[in-house]
Amino acid sequence: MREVPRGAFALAALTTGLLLAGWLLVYLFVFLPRGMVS
Amino acid sequence: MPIAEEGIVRSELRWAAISIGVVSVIMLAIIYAGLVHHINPPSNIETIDPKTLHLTGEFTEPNLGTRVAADGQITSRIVATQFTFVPRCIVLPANRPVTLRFATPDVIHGILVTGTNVNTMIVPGYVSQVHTVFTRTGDLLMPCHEYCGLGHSEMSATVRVVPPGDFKPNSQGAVSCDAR
Amino acid sequence: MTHARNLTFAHLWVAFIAFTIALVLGVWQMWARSPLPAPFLTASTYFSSVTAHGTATAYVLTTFMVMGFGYYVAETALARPLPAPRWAWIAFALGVVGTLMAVVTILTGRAAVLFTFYPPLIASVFYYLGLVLVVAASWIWCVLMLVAMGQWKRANPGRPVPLAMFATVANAVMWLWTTVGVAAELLFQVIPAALGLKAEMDVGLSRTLFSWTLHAIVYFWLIPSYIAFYTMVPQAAGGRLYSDTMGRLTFVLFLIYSLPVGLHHLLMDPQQSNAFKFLQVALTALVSVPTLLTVFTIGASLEIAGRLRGGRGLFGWIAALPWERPMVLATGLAFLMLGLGGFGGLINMSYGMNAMVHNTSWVTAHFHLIFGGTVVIMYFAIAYAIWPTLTGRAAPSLALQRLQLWLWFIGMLVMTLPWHTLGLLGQWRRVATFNYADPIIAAWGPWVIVSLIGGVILLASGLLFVYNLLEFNVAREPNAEAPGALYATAVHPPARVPATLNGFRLWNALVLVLMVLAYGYPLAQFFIIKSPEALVHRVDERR
Repeated sequence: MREVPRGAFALAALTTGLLLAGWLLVYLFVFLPRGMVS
Repeated sequence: MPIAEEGIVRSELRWAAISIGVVSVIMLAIIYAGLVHHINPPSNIETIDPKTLHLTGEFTEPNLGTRVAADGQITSRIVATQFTFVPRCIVLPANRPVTLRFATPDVIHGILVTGTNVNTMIVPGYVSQVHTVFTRTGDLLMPCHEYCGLGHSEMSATVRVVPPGDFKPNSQGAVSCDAR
Repeated sequence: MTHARNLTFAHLWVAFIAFTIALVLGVWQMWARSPLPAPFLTASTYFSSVTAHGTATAYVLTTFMVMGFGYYVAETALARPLPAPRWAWIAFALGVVGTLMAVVTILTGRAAVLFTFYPPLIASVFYYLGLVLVVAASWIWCVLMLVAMGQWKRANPGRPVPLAMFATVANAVMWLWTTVGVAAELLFQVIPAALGLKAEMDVGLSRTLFSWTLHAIVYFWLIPSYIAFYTMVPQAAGGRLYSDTMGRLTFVLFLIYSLPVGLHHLLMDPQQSNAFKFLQVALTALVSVPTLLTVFTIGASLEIAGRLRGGRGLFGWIAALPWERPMVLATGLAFLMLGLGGFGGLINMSYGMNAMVHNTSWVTAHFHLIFGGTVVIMYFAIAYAIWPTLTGRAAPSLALQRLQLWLWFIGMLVMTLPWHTLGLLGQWRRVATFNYADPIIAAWGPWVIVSLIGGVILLASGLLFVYNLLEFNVAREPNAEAPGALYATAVHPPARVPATLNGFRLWNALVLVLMVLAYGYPLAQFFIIKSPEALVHRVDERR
């Protein structure tokens, strides 16, 4: 029980990290290349 | 249960700080895209009377389509109406700043141009305006993407992006798809 | 349980019947949009179906589920009879009459305006009046929830309101605020137009009023699922809720941040400024925080359960969890869909990035995954958890419940993942038939068919869900557990909580401040600038 919440922290950090990585990939490789609009 | 309450509070605060950090990274990237890459939503808040726009002013039929002004500004004006765009095809040059302006005399419409960030709603009472630079040539699809009634599925236009050398305005500064 | 049993049954069956009809319509709609020829297809039948599907899922399934589950929580979490049950039944009757009014109007082709209304398109007044009755019913529910909590607090001075009820009332308070936008739009603009009293309307104003409701309403839908996460899942897994305080804070954060963010649905609209769009985008970023907090808190609660069962190491506790229990399985699947759906949502709300996806199938993918997926799979889990206490019988087959949940998860992914790609390729929304002769559109065809297969799997899952509930009626083993046993205990159950985590006075004040800040000028501007009105366009041909 002394481990808690290390496992939850690892899981949350991993999933949130993947979320951020996914967002950045779309931002850099799909969104910005489509050009300026205003 | 051997989990101390202070430990719980500390871990939650730590995770909250990380969450806010992640969200801040996203917000900073958004601000960067807005300020440095000039990517912003279309928000020009310009009103127009839907009931009279076909009679006088900028959106009368002879004035629609792409025109190059005396100062070199390239503007394409399109009317969205149930269930067609007028004109149904516009020509624009690649690699030049262009402006698209839309108005509707009837209900809500909207457009996107495939493969680009050009996307706007067209709301009766307002002129929608998008400034952009097209980087690739070809025939792009510009469908009406907002439900506007039973004929919505068939409502679509073409944006023909041509190399700047092929973009030749006539004596009135107009360029149209038929001219090719 | 005194009154809740019949009320919960009545509300949930209306919800699930509407849901089943919506599934059938949804599959037909996807068939219509695919390269495969579909029967009965005309523009009128398609858009009436879309209106019916949206109305059934966004207004009927959800409102009746929230109300029915709310009555259940009010009696079982507070361990006292519901106050004024007659009013609960009046509300139910209003809701059913309203639903039938809306449905009949849609089926007779006089309301093809979609559940988002799209003024100046105007349907038969009976469609809108039907929805007004459903909302009125929900308002009665809100008052009953507030009264129930108030009575409990007076009978238990100084004690913390049980978390499940605190969250339910947070939802009720939020819903009262949420409905102001659409109520104003209907009362002052749409219904007068539908009655023929006005021939013109300010569309910018109506879109902005509707946006007030349009985002917060999804939190109204999702809070029952989060109530399950915090108050039922730790118990079902054999663990404890990591932090009761964090639970209260999460629901408070939803209450304050779900409302002043609606403009993120209008990012591509010309009638609002970048300044206010950006402000509401920043507030939207904040509303993602309670979900990120939930992932950690529920993760820790499950970690306790997993380690108690012998799980070791950084991730070993995950495999050790009792995945054969439907509530636990549903939670795992829900969190997977939350990751994907949340990713889509973050992209949608990212200010300029919205231009990449607005009104494409990406948006359709997002809300089917996050609502149809994460939220609705927990609706199933809640039903499976409370059905034994409602019917007095034990679940006849957990294996069939698990199969139904897996089918829902798989179907949802197969349906929505292609839509994400199609959206980025430019596939736009609300189309009855695509012109597959066009080469750009032809390339989409195979993916549309894959998506359709996902929808068929969902329909099978939905039918199995109803079958699983009906099976309880012929089950032989009696239910051994009391409803109270469903609820989790916190690691450190609080003896007292601050008044701010036991009531809503401060938070109501904060909501008011935030709404004035975020929506004050965006609404006031329509009375300052002279925005021309648009002509009303009737869609009910009879008139």
